[in-house]
Amino acid sequence: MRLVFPFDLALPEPVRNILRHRIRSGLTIFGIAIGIFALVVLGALAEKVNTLLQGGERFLSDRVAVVGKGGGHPFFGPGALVRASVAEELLGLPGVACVEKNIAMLLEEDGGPTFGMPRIISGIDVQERLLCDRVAPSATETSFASGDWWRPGERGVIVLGVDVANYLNARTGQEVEIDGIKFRVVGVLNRTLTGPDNTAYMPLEDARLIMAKRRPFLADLRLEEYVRNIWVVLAKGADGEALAQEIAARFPDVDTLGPSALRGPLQTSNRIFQFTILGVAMVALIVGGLSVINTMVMAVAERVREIGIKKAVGASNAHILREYILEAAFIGLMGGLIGLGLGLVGERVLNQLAQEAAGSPLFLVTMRLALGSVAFATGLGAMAGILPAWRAANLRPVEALRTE
Amino acid sequence: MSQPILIVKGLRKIYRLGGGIVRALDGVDLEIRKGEMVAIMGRSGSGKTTLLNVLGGLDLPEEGQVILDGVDITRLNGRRLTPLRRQKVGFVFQEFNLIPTLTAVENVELPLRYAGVPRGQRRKKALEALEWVGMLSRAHHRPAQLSGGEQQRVAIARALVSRPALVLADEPTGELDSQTASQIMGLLLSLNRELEQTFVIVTHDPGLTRYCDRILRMEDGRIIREEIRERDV
Repeated sequence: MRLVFPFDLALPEPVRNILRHRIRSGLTIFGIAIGIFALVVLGALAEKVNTLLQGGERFLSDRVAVVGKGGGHPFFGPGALVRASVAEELLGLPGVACVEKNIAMLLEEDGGPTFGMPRIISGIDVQERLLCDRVAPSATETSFASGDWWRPGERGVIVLGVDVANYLNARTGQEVEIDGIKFRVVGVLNRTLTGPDNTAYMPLEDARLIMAKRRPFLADLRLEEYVRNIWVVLAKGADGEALAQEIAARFPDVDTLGPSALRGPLQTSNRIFQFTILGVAMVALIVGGLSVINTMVMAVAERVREIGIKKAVGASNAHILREYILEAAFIGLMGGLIGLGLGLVGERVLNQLAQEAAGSPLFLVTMRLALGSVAFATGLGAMAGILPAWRAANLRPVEALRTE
Repeated sequence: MSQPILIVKGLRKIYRLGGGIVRALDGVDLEIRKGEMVAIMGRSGSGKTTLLNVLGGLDLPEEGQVILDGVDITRLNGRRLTPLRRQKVGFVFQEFNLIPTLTAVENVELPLRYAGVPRGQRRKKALEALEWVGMLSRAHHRPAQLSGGEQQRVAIARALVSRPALVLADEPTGELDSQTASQIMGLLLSLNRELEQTFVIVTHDPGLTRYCDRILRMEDGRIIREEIRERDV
């Protein structure tokens, strides 16, 4: 006589049925769990990039970039300098909330390829930043974990995004060295999961100094009169595209990019990751789906007589169909939950490794990824259960009862 | 005399086996009244089980009519037969046929569950049915923890729980030793008397017919003889 555990009786019937063949069900669940694990980990990679790109899109959605002629996209283009004095003239235009002069460049020029966003230096005018924080707070979205912005006129100071701080192993009050210049860390930002995490903010003049050191040929230029680009932050309700055109018409020596031109490249790179997830999901679908079908076909074959009994006592086809689909969905749910659990452990371990190796985490399990993976696994189980359940439901009771 | 609960007219059912044809039912006429306990006897292959399946709506005849509690079930399709089976027929099988993963009370609840009876209500009714068959104390045991006789009692409770018009029992004592078999028959008889439950019992054990009001003998798909008796128990 088989030992019955009391907890067993508290379980719903589909779960009890799954427990009838623990090894077989266990292997099927494990198969699904592996698929979901892969889905969660690769999905977490994509979500990390996705969050970064979404942050970028948010950042770019309410602004116009003003660059030197032929400078292209401020993130991805070749870059061309623009006269700093343009900024003051732009401030007076209708639809402009504030402007920010900017000199952005890689933190390390020989840093090699990076995954996601590279670490950058962003030279800013702190007075302009404070104004933008006040009049258009959604445009910057930065807050401090420690310290604050430097005071206007200060030099040799730096505010670090959280991943740059980790990478440089620096805290507020400490000193860091960039291209041979020493900087005092006056603040570290809270994690934003997007651009600012990988950014080191410094006074415009200091950034200009680094640019001049890196590009000696710029020495012929009166560099103090130029910046890399000017961000024009839109006033509420202003039309960015129209403003971009208007600025371009007024200033013949600049190029402008409106919100849609700025966001375009981000949207393309996002697609690659969506296809990666899709690919893994397909593998999970095929492998997991086939093993659920196999398990359920066997379960139905073993329980033909039980199905006959249930039909004899009044179960309709729909009842039987529902019972078997529910059982298959439970298998999927279990696999999904275990896969998600493994994925969360994977996320932690891999982020730890990425943090040590590259200075910033690479994986992000978002709520939608977690819920989506479990829902996917459950739906997969249910879908795979349909065919065997259909066969079970359509058994004729007399014949089913005759089965030994 | 009470009203007939089951009227069967000209029932025919054939099976095609290999090249030949087997006439499993070959013109069966029959009437059963409420509260009767009827035995169907006959050798193996005489058509007893086929008749029982057709009476219970598990199988359809080629010809003839089965009017159960006023409904001609031979005119119903599979979809309509299911709720009818649920409401009007209870089955007791030779091999008990309990669902192994469910406890006794859960097994008894099955017909009510499929009928959509709310949980609390069906549990109450199922426990009541287990009480009728003397199995209340074993309500939370699984079939594997019960003896054959106990399992059959649970199966009887399941057949009775929705108070069907008719309970069909196919060799209900076939798997039991003689002592347990007479206990089960005694139980059916007391349920027949106390609840006025109508039973049709297929058996080939002549010893059990003493519990019945009427004995129908079958051969080659036909009822060849009918005996009406005074019960001697």
